[in-house]
Order: sequence, then C-alpha cells, then structure tokens
Amino acid sequence: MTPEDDDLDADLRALFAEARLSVPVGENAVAAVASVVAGARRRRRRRGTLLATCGALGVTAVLLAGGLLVGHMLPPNRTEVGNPPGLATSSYSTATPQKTGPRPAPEVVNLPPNAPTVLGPTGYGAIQLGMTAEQVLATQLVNTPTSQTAGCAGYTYVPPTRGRSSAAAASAAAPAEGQRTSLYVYLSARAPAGVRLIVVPSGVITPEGIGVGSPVAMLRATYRDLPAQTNSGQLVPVPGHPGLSYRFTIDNGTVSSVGLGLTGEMC
Amino acid sequence: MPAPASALHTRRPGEEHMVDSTDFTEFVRAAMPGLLRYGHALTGNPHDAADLVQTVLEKLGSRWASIVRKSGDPLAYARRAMANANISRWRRHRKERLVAEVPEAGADRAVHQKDRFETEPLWQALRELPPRQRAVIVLRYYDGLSEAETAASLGVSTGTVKSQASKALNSLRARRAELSEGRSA
Repeated sequence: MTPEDDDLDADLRALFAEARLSVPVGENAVAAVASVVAGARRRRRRRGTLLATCGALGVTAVLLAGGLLVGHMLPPNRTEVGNPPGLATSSYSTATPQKTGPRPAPEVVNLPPNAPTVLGPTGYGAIQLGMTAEQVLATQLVNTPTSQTAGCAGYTYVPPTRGRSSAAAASAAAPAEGQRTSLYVYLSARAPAGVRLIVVPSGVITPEGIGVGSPVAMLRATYRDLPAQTNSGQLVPVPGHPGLSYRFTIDNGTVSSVGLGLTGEMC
Repeated sequence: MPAPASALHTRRPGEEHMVDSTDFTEFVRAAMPGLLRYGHALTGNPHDAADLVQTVLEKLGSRWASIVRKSGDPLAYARRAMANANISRWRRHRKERLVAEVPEAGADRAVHQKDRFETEPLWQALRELPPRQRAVIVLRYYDGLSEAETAASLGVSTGTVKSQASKALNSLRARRAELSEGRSA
C-alpha cells in the first residue's frame, strides 16, 4: 500500500462522512413516508390476492394457510387507517380513499392500570428522555422490547399485564382497533445517547390536553404559533423546556400520534 | 380466529397487524433520513436515492412482519436490499441512462442545486463508476464492511469483491486526477 492509497482511503471515508451527503427532504419526507406505507400496502394486497387464488386451487392445508395469511396481511381497512402515525399529508389521504370520519377528541382507551395518562414535559411517567434501555426497563412500565433495529432503535413495548404471558398481553391489547396500543421508545447510540423520542399509546394526552383523535383545530388553538411541519410531523416546543418538542402526526384532520422528544433528528 | 396456530405464524393475528401497520410506519419515519443518505452515496444523486429508498422500503413493508422475524434487523436488511437493487436497476436501465444522462443533467435544476458535491472530483469520479464497483466502495468506506461481509451482502465471492474494489480504486485515483487537472487548467 502506497501513501497515495492511504490518501484515497481517507478521502473516501471523509466524503461519506460529510453532512451534505444527507438528502434535504424537508416537508416532502412526510409525503414520502406516507407514500412508502401506501405502496407497501398495495404490494401486500396484490400478494394477498395471489395467495387467496392459490388457496382456491383446492388443497385444504393451502386454503387454511392462505386464509390465515390473507387475514394477517389484510387487516380491516379501518384498522389500517387508524393505526399509522406520521402520516400527515394529503397524499396519504388520496392513497387510502376509505376513511372513517373525524374522531372525537381525544380518544379514550383502556390503558393498563399502571400506565401514566399524561405525556410530558420531560418524559412519560418514570420513563424520561435521555434514559438508557436498562433504565427504561427498570421503570417496570414496559416489557422487553418486541422490535429493535441497529443505529436508531425503535423499541415497541407492550404494556405489562399482571400474571399473564406476553402473548396473552398482546392479544388483550390487540382488539383496540384503530388505536395505538404500544409505547415506542427511540434510543440512540449516538450523542446525545439514550431515549430521544417517546411515542405514547392512544388515551395518553399532553399536559395541555391534546391526544390521539384531537382535531387539528384544537391543536392549533392549544399551541399558538405552531412551527411548520417537518418530516417528523408537527413539532411543538415544550413550554419551559428548550430543546424538547412534542411531536404530533396528523392524519385526516386529526392527531394520529403523540410523541415527546429532543428537537433534533431522531437518528 | 379459532383456527389452530399455523406453523407459519406463531403470533396472534391481532399482534401481527399491530406490528405490521404501526411498527413499519415508525421504522420508515426513523430510518428514512439515514437510508436517503445511504442511497445518495450508492446512486450518486438525491433523486435516484429517493426512488431507490421508496422501492426498497415498499417491498420491505409488504413483508414487514416476516422480515423482522427472520432477519431481526430490518435496517441492515434495507441497506443490503438497496445496494443490490441499485445494481440490478442500473443494469435494466443502462441503455436509456447513457442516452438520457446529458439532457437530464441540464433539465433537472432543482435536484442539481441540492447536489452540492457537483464540483468535487472524487464525487464525480465515484458517480462514473459502474454500480457494482460503487457499491463495493460504499459498503467498505461508508458501512465499514469487511470483504467477506461485502461479498455476503452483494451475493458475490470475496474474489469478486477484491477485484471490483481494486478496479474501482484505480479508476477513482485516475479519474480524480484527470478531473482535478481539468478543473485547475
């Protein structure tokens, strides 16, 4: 290896580490997320149709499996519409024409007995921004994460249910159609490390009373001078806590998810 | 559903679509900025990066639950899929691309203004590499993967990775020098 090689190695590493390699997406990202989710749904539906056709060909086992698969892949549209957070765009609206009407505000849902009902100003009950994964688990508000990814981790927590298996807890939580039943905690390995964003289940509200199902008009009336929407949804500075924001996503004119996080990027 | 648990699905149906629709959206929202950046490195321009991310995430999302179960790391899965999809896409569109390259560059001002690497010889040289060579470079210098890991990601032999990397580095070195001279002349 010559010194020239070393230069090229270092230059390539430096080039790929450049901030300007980031693609400036701005408000388009909201539409991009919506369009990805809608596209995935279309593909899944097409495949669902294929599977159903296979099932109809006759083998009982195939029929059964196909039926189960289709059941899994094609939840009732109402559920799909209610669930997605982060979809605050008109492109999402046009992608899923079948909509339920605006929901009353905010939704009431049966939270587990130990679940806090208010998000903010610096955390969700005992779960505070900046905590490590271990600290989050130690609050005993949550079970082991059910999903996580490298880099930016999106942990899904199922609310604990006393004396039942986690499968039983999951099925107990499942019937709440169109409602968010999970608590998401984003942990970052990069500085500032720890919990950067908490997205709460339906039924939890901000200290100012905004929750899933609140109409956008109520959001605007509650938090004056809203900054522009970003790719993470509608950010609202937490009063008295610089650097922290509530993150609302808006779907079909109502708040579809409520989060609290650091104002910067999640990952 | 009263049916016995299928061997294919150990999860309860309710849990399945809860994971499906909510979890995937959260993932896309969180992963998108990083994947676009990665796509920018892979494709050489933000426009293609957006297309690539869109296509790969749609496919991933349509099989979300099973990918999460099997790979356990959808982000790594998405990155591998992007590297591969970019190679095969280039192969498919090679002809039209060679024709379209010049007029498109002039017409697509909005995208171009965002590409702030325009004047960098190394970036330009990288853009001119065939996608498999570029992928090898990106996986090595962006992802920090070893030759064996790169080979596994791209589904080729380590020998191929070695030879592609060596060709790529030679082209980059030569082309960068040419471009730099051209610029200073």
